Amino acid sequence: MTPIVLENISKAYGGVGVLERISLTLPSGPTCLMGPSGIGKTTLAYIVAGLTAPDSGTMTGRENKKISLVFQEDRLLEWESALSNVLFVTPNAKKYAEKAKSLLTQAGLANSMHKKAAELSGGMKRRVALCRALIANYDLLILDEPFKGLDEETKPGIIQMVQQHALSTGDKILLCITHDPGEADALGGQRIHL
Amino acid sequence: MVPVALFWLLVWEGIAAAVGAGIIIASPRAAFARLFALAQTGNFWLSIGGSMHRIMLGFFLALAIGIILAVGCVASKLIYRLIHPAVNVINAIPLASFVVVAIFYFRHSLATFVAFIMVMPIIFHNTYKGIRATDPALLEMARVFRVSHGKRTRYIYVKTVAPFLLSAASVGIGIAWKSGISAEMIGIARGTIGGGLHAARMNLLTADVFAWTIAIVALSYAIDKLFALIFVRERERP
Repeated sequence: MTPIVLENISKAYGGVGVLERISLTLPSGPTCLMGPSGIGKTTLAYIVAGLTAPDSGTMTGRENKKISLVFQEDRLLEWESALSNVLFVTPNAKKYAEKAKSLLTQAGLANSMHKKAAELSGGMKRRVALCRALIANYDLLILDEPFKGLDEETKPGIIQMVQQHALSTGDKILLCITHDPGEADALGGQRIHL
Repeated sequence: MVPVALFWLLVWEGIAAAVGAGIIIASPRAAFARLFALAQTGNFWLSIGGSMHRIMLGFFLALAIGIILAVGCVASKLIYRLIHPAVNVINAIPLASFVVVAIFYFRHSLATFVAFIMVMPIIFHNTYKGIRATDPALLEMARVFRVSHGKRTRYIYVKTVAPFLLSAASVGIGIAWKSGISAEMIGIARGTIGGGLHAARMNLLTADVFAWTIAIVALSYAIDKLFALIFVRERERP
């Protein structure tokens, strides 16, 4: 998989610089983006995703790559079930139904997959958002604080699930934003501090 | 519900007794007696059928065209610039102005035309507002995951627009009914409720006027309830 290379990326909002001349390379495998709140991690991730345009700088290697993303907010269809939310991003609901159920079961949501997203707790919604990102067909997976709101008992199983689905083949690029060094240790790969 | 209805019937009875002239205000007993007598005739039901199909046709045309125009206005700025002011103008023109012109062109389908022209702007504005109220974060999510336009429409737009459209349709159906019958009355459309109302008025049959009015209110209430029932079921579907 061709790495994604960012060179001298800068971005400002309302005259306030958020990112200044950031250069980094995202090879296959995991990369953890770390740093204090408000430093521009999400902005950088959204630039990589193509959702935000940088003011200056260049990015190469992202062309033709399919993206999957866990947003900072869950962005679920609140009126749909957990299962329906996961299947929403698949091209064929019937074909992917078993895989979606298996992911939700692995995420500890076997008994909640038919509940509407609006009825789920914050941690459950986060897991649904993660299952949705994992079922999509992607080359680049961006996770913006994917384990936020998960209790310490649930977290290791969910990290293992990400490793199993996103990293087992070794040909996908994973960019994970986290504050937690423990999460970065568990995912492995390179770490970038902003 | 029943005690409230009884209270207002008593008020009506009191006013009719105080006026003391059936030609000015018919008593509830006289009005219901005439309604019962009219309901025994085939013409009464043919008139109801005649009005119902013309007005409902106008309503459903307004529903379809209002939605199509709203979608077009969201999709294209040019369509918005052309259509939005035109619909606003239609909305501002009084019903009477439309009727006096339309009566020459839509003699038999005047009620359909009037119901359409009165309801379409309501459907258009509400649908447009509903589409505009769609959460951009969800649309961005769908775009990132390359979700098809059909699926985005079904899972995001329809769910967001439905409450706006339902309230517009609920208001619109009452307006279609009232304006359609007014148009029938002005156009003296035979074999319709408005035509029956006009004939009763011209012959000073006040009890008949009241009987037709009761029938209009009852039908309007029934249609409103039926409509609510269908759409509540639709909304509750999994």
